[in-house]
Amino acid sequence: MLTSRQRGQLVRYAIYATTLALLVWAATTTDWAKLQEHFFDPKIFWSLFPDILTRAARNTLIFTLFGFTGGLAIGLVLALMRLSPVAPYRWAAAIYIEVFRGLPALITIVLIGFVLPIALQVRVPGTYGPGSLALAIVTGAYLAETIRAGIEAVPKGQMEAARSLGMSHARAMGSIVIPQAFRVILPPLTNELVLLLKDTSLLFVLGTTDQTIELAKYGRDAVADTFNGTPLVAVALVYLAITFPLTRAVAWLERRQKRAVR
Amino acid sequence: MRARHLAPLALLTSLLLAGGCSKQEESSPASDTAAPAGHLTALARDAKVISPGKLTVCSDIPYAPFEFNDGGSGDTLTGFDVELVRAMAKTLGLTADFKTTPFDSIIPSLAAGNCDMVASATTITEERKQKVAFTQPYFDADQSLLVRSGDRERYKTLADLRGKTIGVQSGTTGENYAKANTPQGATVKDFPGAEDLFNALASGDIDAVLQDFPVNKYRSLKASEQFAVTETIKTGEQYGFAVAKENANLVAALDAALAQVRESGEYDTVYKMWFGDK
Amino acid sequence: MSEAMQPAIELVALEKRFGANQVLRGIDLRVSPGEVVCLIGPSGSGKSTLLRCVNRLEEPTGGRVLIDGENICATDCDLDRVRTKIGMVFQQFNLFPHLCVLDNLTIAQRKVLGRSKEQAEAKAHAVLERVGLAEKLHEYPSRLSGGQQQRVAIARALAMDPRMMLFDEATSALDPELVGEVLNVMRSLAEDGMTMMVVTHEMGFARQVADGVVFMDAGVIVEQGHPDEVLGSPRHERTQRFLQRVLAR
Repeated sequence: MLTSRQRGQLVRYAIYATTLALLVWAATTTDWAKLQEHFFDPKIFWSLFPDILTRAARNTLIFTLFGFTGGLAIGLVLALMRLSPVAPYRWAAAIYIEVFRGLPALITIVLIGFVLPIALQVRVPGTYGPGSLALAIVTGAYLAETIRAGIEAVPKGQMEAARSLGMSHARAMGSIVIPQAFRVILPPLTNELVLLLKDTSLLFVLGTTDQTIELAKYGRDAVADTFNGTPLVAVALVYLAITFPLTRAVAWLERRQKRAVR
Repeated sequence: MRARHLAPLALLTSLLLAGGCSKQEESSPASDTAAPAGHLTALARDAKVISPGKLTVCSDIPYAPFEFNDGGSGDTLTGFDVELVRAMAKTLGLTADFKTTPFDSIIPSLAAGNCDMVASATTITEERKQKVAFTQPYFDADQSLLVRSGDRERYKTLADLRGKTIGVQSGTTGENYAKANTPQGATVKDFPGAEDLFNALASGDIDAVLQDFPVNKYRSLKASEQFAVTETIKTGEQYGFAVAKENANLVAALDAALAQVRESGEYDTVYKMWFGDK
Repeated sequence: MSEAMQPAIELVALEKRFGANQVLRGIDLRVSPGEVVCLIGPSGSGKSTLLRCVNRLEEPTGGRVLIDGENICATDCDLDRVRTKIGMVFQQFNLFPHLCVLDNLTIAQRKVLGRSKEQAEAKAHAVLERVGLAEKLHEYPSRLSGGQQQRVAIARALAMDPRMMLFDEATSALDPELVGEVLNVMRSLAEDGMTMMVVTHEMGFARQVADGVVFMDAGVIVEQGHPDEVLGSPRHERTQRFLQRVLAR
């Protein structure tokens, strides 16, 4: 019968062959002219600039920035609450984290954008306010666990050394533990940033103005206006242009972490 | 080892194909459920539908009083569009099957072959006629302004909304009108659905809703302490049913059905049910 | 141990329990200013726990700890302030890896003692000289050998001008050839009159440098006295057995 090596080879060749067949089929059955016409129309593509960058991409980045900064702050507070010796703090944080990790981001966005103002008469100020807050609330829940893990990963001896030098708990946390925690969690943090960036595409439910339009909505509007798929391709490329460097940065950071550990 | 990358690439390519290839599916001709008027069923037979025996309708539900669910679960779908289309379908020997589709992607959805027709309070415009075919108009509509009851005296016309925020639904003629006639310093904010608009108005996020008169009126009747219709903007708009451009036979069938329904008085019955006497 | 002046460190009926485990069973101990006391004993005897109770890194569950006559277990005690008087050196060094040596030495000086940048840096230079590592000012801890890191750790504690120093098995994690350089620094500190409490396995060091040796076992002080007595001619059988095991290696 076949040796395992021969079997392996056979499987590999089968995969090559199937893939090749698929490609050939794809290449021959595709109506290339129509594909180009519907998805790669240069006139439409270029007509999207510079607005796609100066307005749409800019807004996506602004929402991401506000959402992430807010999320970091919330996540840090929650992480510290989870580590607190005071039981009610721990419970409150645990509940928050469960709820906002369990809800789809879309629901949270609707809650902050519609339910909060209608039920509690509370409106979040600022044009980017409600959207950013909703994103921050969601991101905070995810980051809380990451940050907590990071803090717990810092050896206890660090806190002990800091306290034995006379630093208060707060000072020791702020100057010694948390900075080290952040170095450790930089890769998962960057991952969360990318996820947040993509979640900005959900903000359209809160209503869009010319000023606050983000990438996905921009693309969808353009598709409806031009009756063509090219804007979606353009928007996809812009998203990738933003997320690709970020994911590369994560990979680089992770490699650096591995080398730095002694 | 390079081959390892080919498999996902092949998958990607085949997926892209789905969009690039021709959109028109092979569909079966309409069926023949206990057929009424012979000439209509003949038209129905020649028309192409996705699902035999059914008229698949894309509609942005809810959009009261044109298409919405009237409380509870089960088949409670009703509304002017819904009842009218059901009546028309019956004359063609078909059953109407409604699919909820967000309005700003409803025309592309039609073109993609997800449905046979669009019945969603859709205004006939030159721009839209470039992309799809319309039946004869079936409803005369106007735009209107809906405000919170407390602002009834303050925002009597569109011009009164200087520096304020006006809400519209994405992809509608209301949006076009608002953007073409924006008062000085005002912001136009577009939302995916009609319900979002009413929520935003209630929450104070926007100051007025610019939308089809019947829809605003219906809402203001249902929530009379909350909302009020102020200005009616006569635009001379008319609604039509949209059909894919290539499907001329279906347009013909629907036009005939519409004519039939008007003639038989059923149109008036449906109209009365939702809008009272003309 | 002389009782002429107020002790630098005084432990009165000190107890420590971890859950059901009674680790310290009533310890009475006095360390006079300028004295060097070495704590020896088998693992699990509670000597590290005892040391860590002195600056309340472990919270005593019974008894009192007095530093320069002040009861630091009292609820109104400003523990952070007291800790600036007590320098501590750990088995695992615990240098701050994200800060260079200079910052390791100055951060507490500036943030806790409120010294200016210039004052703190001058002090950092001085203590680093003292431990023989003046040229490593701008290095990061990860680039230093174990012995160097521990000497920097000692310098870090010294920079705070403590009145006493605690050493928790300071050389146990070091490769044998690096132990000497650290012990030398400790010896010179002792010679300069620093009050020291040292948990150690280095019997040679204890013999030469200590003013008193305390042998602990199972949470109690079994025997204490002059190094020559405790290490040379121990009175108790447990002490003898322990020393036999340790010195036989």
